[in-house]
Amino acid sequence: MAPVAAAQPVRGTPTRPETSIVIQTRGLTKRYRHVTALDSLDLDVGVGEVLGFLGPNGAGKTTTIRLLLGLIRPTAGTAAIFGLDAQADKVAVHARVAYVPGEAALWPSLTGAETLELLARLQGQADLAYRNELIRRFDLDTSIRIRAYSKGNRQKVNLIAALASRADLLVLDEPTAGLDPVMEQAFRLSIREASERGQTVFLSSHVLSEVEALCDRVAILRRGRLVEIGTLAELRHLSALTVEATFPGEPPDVTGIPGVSAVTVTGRQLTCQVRGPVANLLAAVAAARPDSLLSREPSLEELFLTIYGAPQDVPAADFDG
Amino acid sequence: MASPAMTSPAVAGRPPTSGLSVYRPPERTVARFVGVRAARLGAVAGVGMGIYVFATAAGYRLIAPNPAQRAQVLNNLAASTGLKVLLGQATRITSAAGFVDWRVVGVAAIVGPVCWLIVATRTLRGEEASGRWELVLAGRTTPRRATAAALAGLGAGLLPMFVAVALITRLSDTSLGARVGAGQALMFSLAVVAPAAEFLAIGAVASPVMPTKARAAALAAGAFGAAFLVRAAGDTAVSAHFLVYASPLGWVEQLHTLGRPQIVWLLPIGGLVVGCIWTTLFVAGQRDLGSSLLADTDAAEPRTALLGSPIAIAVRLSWQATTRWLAVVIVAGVLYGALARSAGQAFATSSTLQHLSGDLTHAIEPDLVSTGARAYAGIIFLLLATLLMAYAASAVGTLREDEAEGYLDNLVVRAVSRQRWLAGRVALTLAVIIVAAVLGGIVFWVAAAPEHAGLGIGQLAQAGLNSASPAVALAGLGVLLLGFAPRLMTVACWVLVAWAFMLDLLGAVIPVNHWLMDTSLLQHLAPAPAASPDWRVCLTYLAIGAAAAVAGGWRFTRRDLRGL
Repeated sequence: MAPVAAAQPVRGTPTRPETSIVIQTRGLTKRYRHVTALDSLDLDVGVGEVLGFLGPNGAGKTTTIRLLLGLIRPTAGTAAIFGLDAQADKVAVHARVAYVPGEAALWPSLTGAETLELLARLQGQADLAYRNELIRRFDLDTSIRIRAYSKGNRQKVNLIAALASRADLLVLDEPTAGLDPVMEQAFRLSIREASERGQTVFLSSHVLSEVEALCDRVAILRRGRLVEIGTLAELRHLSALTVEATFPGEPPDVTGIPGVSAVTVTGRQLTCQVRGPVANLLAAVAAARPDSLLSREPSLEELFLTIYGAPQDVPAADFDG
Repeated sequence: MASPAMTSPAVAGRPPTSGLSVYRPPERTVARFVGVRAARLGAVAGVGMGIYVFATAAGYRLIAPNPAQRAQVLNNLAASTGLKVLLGQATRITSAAGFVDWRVVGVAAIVGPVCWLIVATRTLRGEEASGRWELVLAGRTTPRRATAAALAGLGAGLLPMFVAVALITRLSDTSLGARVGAGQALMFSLAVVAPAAEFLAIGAVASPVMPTKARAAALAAGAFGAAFLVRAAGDTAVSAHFLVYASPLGWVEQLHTLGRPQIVWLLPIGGLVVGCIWTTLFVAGQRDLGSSLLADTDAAEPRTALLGSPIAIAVRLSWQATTRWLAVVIVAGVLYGALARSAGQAFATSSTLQHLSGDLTHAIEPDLVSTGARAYAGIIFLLLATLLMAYAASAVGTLREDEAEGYLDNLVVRAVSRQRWLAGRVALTLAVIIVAAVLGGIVFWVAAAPEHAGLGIGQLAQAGLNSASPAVALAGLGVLLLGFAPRLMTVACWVLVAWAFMLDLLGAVIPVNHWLMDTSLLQHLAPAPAASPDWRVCLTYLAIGAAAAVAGGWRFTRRDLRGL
């Protein structure tokens, strides 16, 4: 990419914002006629935090992001970013926010370089040296017009523009959609760099391994409601421990043990899940003298499936342990 | 695409599979999907043209109180150069049938091509550019067969138009003063539909030539402009009458289906349509999906000019379209300006016309030619006003397009307020309208001056500014709709333009209820330079536009951004 000098370099060394809370929502609600897209969201995101925002299709993730950015107006509740009203002080908020949409609508006739320059000028700041580094890292040919780019390359343009802005808050909505695994690694590296610089990241994603690898905390949305939020360690306590054991003979019957569920016997192998104290299960398994015993914490994917596999009408509290 | 319909239980050559639904061949689904949408437009256009047939026929007797006076008026109309340019050569218009044939086919030869070339390019190039065509071609079909199906659907869309016009013409035979048989009504309807069919086919050919639907439509519109100019030159210059036979619009004009039908002219019309369809299908089978014959280079050195603000990027991205609009204004100004003196002479010799259009010529001056030229220019500047309204509709339509496509999101998630974006875009639209209006006046003067038509540059520049006021009002109303009913905005703006144009045409021929006429944005405009511009009316238009824009802008900044 030819060097561009029109955009202003990042203003000084990024410092931590004055307030400790970057994003704060209270009772944030959005209804479309009879559909409640987001229901009373209370959420705090701290300075320098990387928050993973999870939920199935239609859970309200993009609605939340569009409310935070002031693209749509809440039916009820408030959202503040850097202590400013996300609706009333949009322009002041946006000066410190960089956004990567899930599907980039970029101007087809502009080249990648022109688009990056335009987005930088609109943003008001860009770290040009870092932008060039990102262009190399994401292996983007910026002389190509947007209309000739693949979906992944368009997404790279958005990502580079956002990351190079060194904005205090990065709002990323499915940012790696269309990226190949190598580029996904480049993305993870970039987010870690942003986090190390003290930038806050709000990451909506379906790639659970990505969230698991990057995020300090995870918020899970379901049907417009926040059903879980916490660190991965905290969330793991919500789900059952998986136990797999192989026996020399027939596996013992563990179905009656309190807290044990999802018992599966395949030949000499027993698989089950256990919530709460494991002493009774271990005693039953040990009595049968197992050849091998494996227990492991649930992955984020299993946590996610546990929460979404539950009946639709179960309130959030029912997931607690 | 459309919901699939079940047909035979098995695909040919394949044994029936238990539990597997078998659908119609994809070509039928494509044809049906395209056809249903095209048929809606065809039905609306057909009913509209049918009403125009009826109104024109019914109003024929109202042109003058007795046959002698009517004949005088009509002969003067037939001699008018401006009307020859606009609607073509009038023959046998002293009969109701001939009059209807001239006016309706003349209008159909303007409105039909514009509408249907847009439909064709939107369907063929637009669907491909959006990626939806890829889904179709991934099915059990080939590019050629799928394109043929889409063309069949588009063609089917013309059927309701054809039927509606034929039916209403047949029912209007009492008003036409002569027995119109079913065959004659069908022939007349064919003449009304023919220009649409021609430019639908030309739009189809243009689609694989250009990389985007807008540019394909511009190419087809350029072909229409050329056909119109050639036909107009052939109709106005006796020595160049042969040019009429060189234009697809001239072939339609020669059909004279309600007079003495010249059905031989259906041959070149049919040949053009068939040739275009064959070419479209041939090219569809030869080219890669997404490619175009005139493709832009996909790589370029970065040009960072006009990237600094929302309005700058709007200028950068819209300058080509704006230039095309200004070019149309310039070409029309040159064409009509050059005809000002001869048209003025025709007007000056028409006492009945002067009487009928008293408001146009009330400022009687010693130089009748000059007065006639002003009357003619008054009509032309009303056309300029319509053209400017069309630009305004197009320009405010891009505001909604930017929102619906998500381009606006890129701006307003950064340090750009919605107010700033909207104000900049509206200001840009108004600037183009004003420039085009003044430019139209100046170009008209430049073309008319050598002919000594007696029109001053100041007078014409003022007439241009006067013509701009309905467009300013429309732009404001567009912003109002953007704020309160964004998904209706584009259609509503174009309906307002078409409504004003139709009422203007109707009102010139038949008495139309004044309440109805008052709904036209053109109705209250002083026909400058035939009359002095009524600046109070202009200010009223501006006030309406400003109030609507403020209200719409207020709402726009407070509502959710909405996609398609």
